[in-house]
Order: sequence, then structure tokens, then C-alpha cells
Amino acid sequence: MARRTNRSWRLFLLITMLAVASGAVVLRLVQVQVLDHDHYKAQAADEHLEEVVVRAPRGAILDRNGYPLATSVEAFDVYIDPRSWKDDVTALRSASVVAPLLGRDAGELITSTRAQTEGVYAAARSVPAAVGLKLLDEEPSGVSVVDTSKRFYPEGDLASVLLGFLGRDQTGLAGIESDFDLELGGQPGLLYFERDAVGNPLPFGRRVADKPVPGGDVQLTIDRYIQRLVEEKLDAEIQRHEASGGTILVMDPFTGEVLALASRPSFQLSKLNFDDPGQADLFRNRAVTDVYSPGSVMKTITMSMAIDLGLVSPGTTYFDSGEALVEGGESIKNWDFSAHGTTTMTQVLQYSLNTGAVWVSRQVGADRFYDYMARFGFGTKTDIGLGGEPDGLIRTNQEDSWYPVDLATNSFGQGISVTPLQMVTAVSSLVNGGLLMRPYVVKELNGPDGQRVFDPVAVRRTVSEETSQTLVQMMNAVVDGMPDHPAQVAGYHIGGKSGTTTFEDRPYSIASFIGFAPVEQPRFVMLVKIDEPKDDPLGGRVSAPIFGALAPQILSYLGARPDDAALVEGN
Amino acid sequence: MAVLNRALPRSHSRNKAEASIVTIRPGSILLIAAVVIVIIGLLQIIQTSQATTRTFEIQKLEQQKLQLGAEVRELEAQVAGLSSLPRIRAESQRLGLARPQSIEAVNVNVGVPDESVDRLPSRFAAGAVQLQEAETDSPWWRDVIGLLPFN
Repeated sequence: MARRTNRSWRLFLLITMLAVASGAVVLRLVQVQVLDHDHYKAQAADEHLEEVVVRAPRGAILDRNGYPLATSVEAFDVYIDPRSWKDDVTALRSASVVAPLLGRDAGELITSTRAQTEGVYAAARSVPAAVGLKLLDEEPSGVSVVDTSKRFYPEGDLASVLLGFLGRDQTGLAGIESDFDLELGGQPGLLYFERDAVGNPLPFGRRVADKPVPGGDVQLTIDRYIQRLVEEKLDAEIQRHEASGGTILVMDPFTGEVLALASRPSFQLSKLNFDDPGQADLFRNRAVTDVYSPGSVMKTITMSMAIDLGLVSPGTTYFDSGEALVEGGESIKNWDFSAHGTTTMTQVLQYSLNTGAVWVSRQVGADRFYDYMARFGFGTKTDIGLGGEPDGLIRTNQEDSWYPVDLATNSFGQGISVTPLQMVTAVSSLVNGGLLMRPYVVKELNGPDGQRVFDPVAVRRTVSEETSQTLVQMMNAVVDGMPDHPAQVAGYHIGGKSGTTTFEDRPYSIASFIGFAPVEQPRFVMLVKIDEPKDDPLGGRVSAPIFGALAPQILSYLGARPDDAALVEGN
Repeated sequence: MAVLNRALPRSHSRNKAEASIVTIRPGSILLIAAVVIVIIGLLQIIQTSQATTRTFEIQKLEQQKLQLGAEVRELEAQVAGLSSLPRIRAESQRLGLARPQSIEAVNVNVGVPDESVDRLPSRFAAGAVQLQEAETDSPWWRDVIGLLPFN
């Protein structure tokens, strides 16, 4: 009886053990098949499928008329799987096909590939389409070829600082390429293909692809013809004056569209060298990112304030003794140390009298002066949409560090820092009827989501329409009212004002001129700024002639009719 | 006894069934099975072969599409290069063209046409002429009123 009990107990133990073991196996199966299903599925896919990122074709950057300034051509990235090149014979056979096409040595290619410990080796990026297609035909072992795109600049180095450039990973690093990287870049896709034990793609294996979404085109407000005119002239004049740099900015005053934007020093798209740290300083778009003291160009703004407030008119006079005493004992003299006696407001601009600007700013008063400065957009970003734009530097009478002499110096553009873009935007509002327009360089975005058109935006009114008309006439008197002014253009009425910024700690000046044409219906406002000209410091002698040379070509191109055209009677 | 009597037909039917089984020979079954297996195998081979052929064709077409796409983009780039300003300048120099030294603009002042002249195209002017005629053809009583001195 006891023997039978002992046997049934052992049987029960065995059954229990088997049941527990079976249960454990079932539980493990549930874990593997159900609970961790995704994890193991991914592991299996990782083992069998090779994943390659396929770059989306990058959109083009077009000028305002649709001509491409930067576009993409088909190119290919070449990858080699090191596992499939472990065998010397296979490696040599494949390398002898790949290396000559990539312009590399077969032995060096094998060494580099084998040095790659993880993933695939990127043997070449953005190789020409002909090379990529040849490799696709040859199908060397262990080599995968992925189509991508490569930047091509039909206009050469034109507008390089504005366009910017791409990094090795085809991501925008500067300029429009960076600021509109999302729109231009599109969305990369993923390509999966089945591979064998050593990583070779199976000839007729499963291929799964998340197709890339192509990037959209960005159409600029820049006109390639005007841009080229401006750049060539700027380069020539910088060389002629042995200047350290310069900027020329052309804007449509009624819309805020930037028609041309050139600044030097800059870089050449064809000679980009990421390994040269010295080049980093050339990547800035100085017309947007750098500030300068505008000098006497600011007198037009000061004058507009007094006219807008009804304090003066073009014929109002003051007595110029050649010196203006400022509260605190400071003395301000004219740039040429001259004294003109009884002088009209128009003459203040014509002869660029510092004492006159100081007198006008006193009439306006500090509170209203800085209120107007804010209205003209000084001290605030223009929101052009380009990276690196500063607010500018302006010290107002609300700050403790402000002194009465600041009002005096600010009235003729010293002791204040603005960007060239801010200056052109402000003067544009003087000639367009008194509206501060938001400047912009991108006209349209054409992407997979559709088209986005950027319309002109009036930010605020700076001065009344009457004031604007008065300033247009006064600035016209500055150019056409002065004999042999270098900014004059035969057949057209021109308005403008020169500026010269001097520094106590630097031997050379900034020579600038801002002008517009034609006076009757301004088609453009153009700022010419030459940094540190060695032969002559004055804006009226360095920059005004540049304006005078460019303006007729731009006017002719824009189809602006000359005022003195011969009249022919017809039927 | 009654039980025995009922059992008789059952044994009879079993014999019948046994007789029918005997008629299907094992060789035939094997043959049918073999044929079915061969057919299934052939079908699978045909299916795999067709799939492989299609995959190959798809891959070839994809490659062709890629090649054509690359050619299109190359051509687009060529068009962009040909319409670029440096190329236009080079061509203009090759053709001996030069910038004008001075530009003279001429405004041609065309005289305003006489009011009586129809400025509309004839197909539209016909109606206008009729209207004009109707207006000039005033009633007799208006002419009479026009003769009165208080006018």
C-alpha cells in the first residue's frame, strides 16, 4: 500500500514538472510572439533588410522672373558594405569597377571600406549622374547606389551671400538655403532592400521605399540682371578705391521688394572651403547683419520730422555760424568747417550742414525725435525673413546713458547704428508717400503643399503724404539742384543724399549715397556704401558717382521713360 | 430472434461497401496524388517564375525611370545654363554686339482720333452706327419746338 502511495506521488511530481515546463514554454512563446512581437519583428527586419536614407530632390531658388539662381541636378551617393568586401577576391573585383569611376585607387578604396566598423561606407557623395547610372548597370558586389541631387548655379557666383550654401549633408548652412531649408529641402525618404548573409542586396528581393517628398522652389524678388550690374560695379569700385568692402542695395520703394542686394567681402560658391576658418567671416550678408553709422544720409530723416510737424518748410531759414553749441558745452561744426550765414532748409541738405541738422533737431525736440526714429524703424528688425538681422543701436532720451549731445549727433547720423537695409527701408518711406514697407526678398514659395505668395506689407505711416512729396523735391534739389553732382543722370530727375561717416579711432571713413529715380514716380531706391575707401573719404565723391553710373542702366532696364525724350508728332 | 433478423441486412450492406472499396486500387490513388502534387508544384514554379520576371521588369523600369529623370534634370540644367547671363554675354561678344554708348528716347505723340471716326471694330461699330442714326433721326415735333423763339 505504502509502495503504491510512493509511486503515485512521484507520478504527480513528474506531471507537475512537465506541466510547469510546458507552461513556461507557452508563457515564453506568448512573450516572444505577442508581447515583444514588434521588437523581434524589428530585429528580424534589421537582420534581413538594409535601410538607406534617400534624399529628397532640393527645390530651386529662382530670381523674380523665374530664372534659376540655384538648382539641383541628378547625382548619386555611393555606399559600400564592408561585410561583403571581407573576401579579397570579391573586394578586388568590385573595387576594380568602382574605383576608376570614382577617381580613386582600388587598394585605398578597399582599405577605407574595411576600416568602417559599423554600417556602410560612404565611398562618394553627389557623383555625377553618368557615373551613378554606370554603377547601377555594372552592379558590383557590395555596392549600393542611391540617387540624390547636387546644387548647380547657372549664374555662377551671383548673389552668393544671399543664396548661401549647403553642408555635406545637403542641409542649408547659410543664406536663403538655410533660412528656407524646410521649404527647399523637402522630406527625405527611406529605401529598404533585402540582403543576403554578407549584406549584398538580393537581386530580386523585396524592396520597400518611403518615397521622398521633393522640396519646393523659392522665388526671390531679386532681379538677376540688376543684381549682376550691381555686383560687377561694386567689385570694380572696391578695387578702384582700395576699399575694405561695400554694399549696394536696390529696393522698390512702393512694395519693399529687394531688387538687388550685394555686399563685400563675400565668398565664391565655386570656391567654398569648409576647412578654411578664414572663410567663415565671408558668409555674412552684411547688408542685413552689419550695422554702421549712416552719417549725413540721416539728415533727410531729421528734416522730414520737422516738416511733418509743420515746424519748418523748405524755405525756412536759420543762421549758420559754422558751429552749433550743444547743452553741456559740446560744439558741433560743419564737415568742411564752413559757415554759410542765413541758410534755407533745402540748402541744409544741399550743403549737408551739420549745424543745420542740429538746429532742426532742436526744433523737433528729443521726445518727438526718438518717436519718429522708432516710426522709421530704427532700433527694430525689419523682419525681412533673413537670419542674423540685428535691431541696430540707438540710445534714446529714455535711457540713463543718454546725453543732449546724442540728439545733436544723431540728427546727422553719428552715434547711431543702423543696418543698410534699415536705412533703405526708411528712405523708401520718404519717397513712396510716407509708408514704411516691410522689405522682403522672397516673393513666392512653390512646394508640394501649394503656392504661397508674399504680398507687400505696409508696417506703418512714418510721415504724411505731403511731407513725403516735399522731401522728394528737396532730395531732388540736392542732386539736380547742385551743378555737376556726380549722381545726376541725363534725361532723368534724380533725388538723393550722400553721407560720410568718420571715426575717431580709424583713419578711413564709410562713404555712402542713397538715391532714387525718377523723381516723378520712383522706380527704385538705391544705397551705395563703400567701406574705408583709401583715395577719398567723401560719400559725395566716392558713392554718388557709382549711383550715377548704375541708375541709367537700371532705369533703362526697368523701362522708365526719360523726361527729356524727343517729342515726335504723329497721326 | 428479432435481433438476429435485423442484423442480416446490416451485414449485407457492409459487404457491399467492402466490395466498392476494393474497386479503387492503391496504384490509382498514388497516381492521382502524384499528378496533383506535380500540378501544384508546376503552378508554384510558374507563379514564382512570373513573380521573378515581373520583379526584374519592375526593377528595369525603375532604373529606366531613374535614368530618364536624370536626363530630364540634366537637360533642365543645360537650359538654365544656356539662358544664364554669362552665356548671353559671351554669345553677344561672339556676335560682336556692344553696349550702346548713349540711349536716346523718343516719345511719339499720336494725335487723338476725330470723334466722328469709329474707334470700335466694324463688327461692334455696326450697332453703334444704327444707334447714332436713330438719335439723329429726331421726330418732326422736336424740329418744330426747336424753331420756337424761347429755345
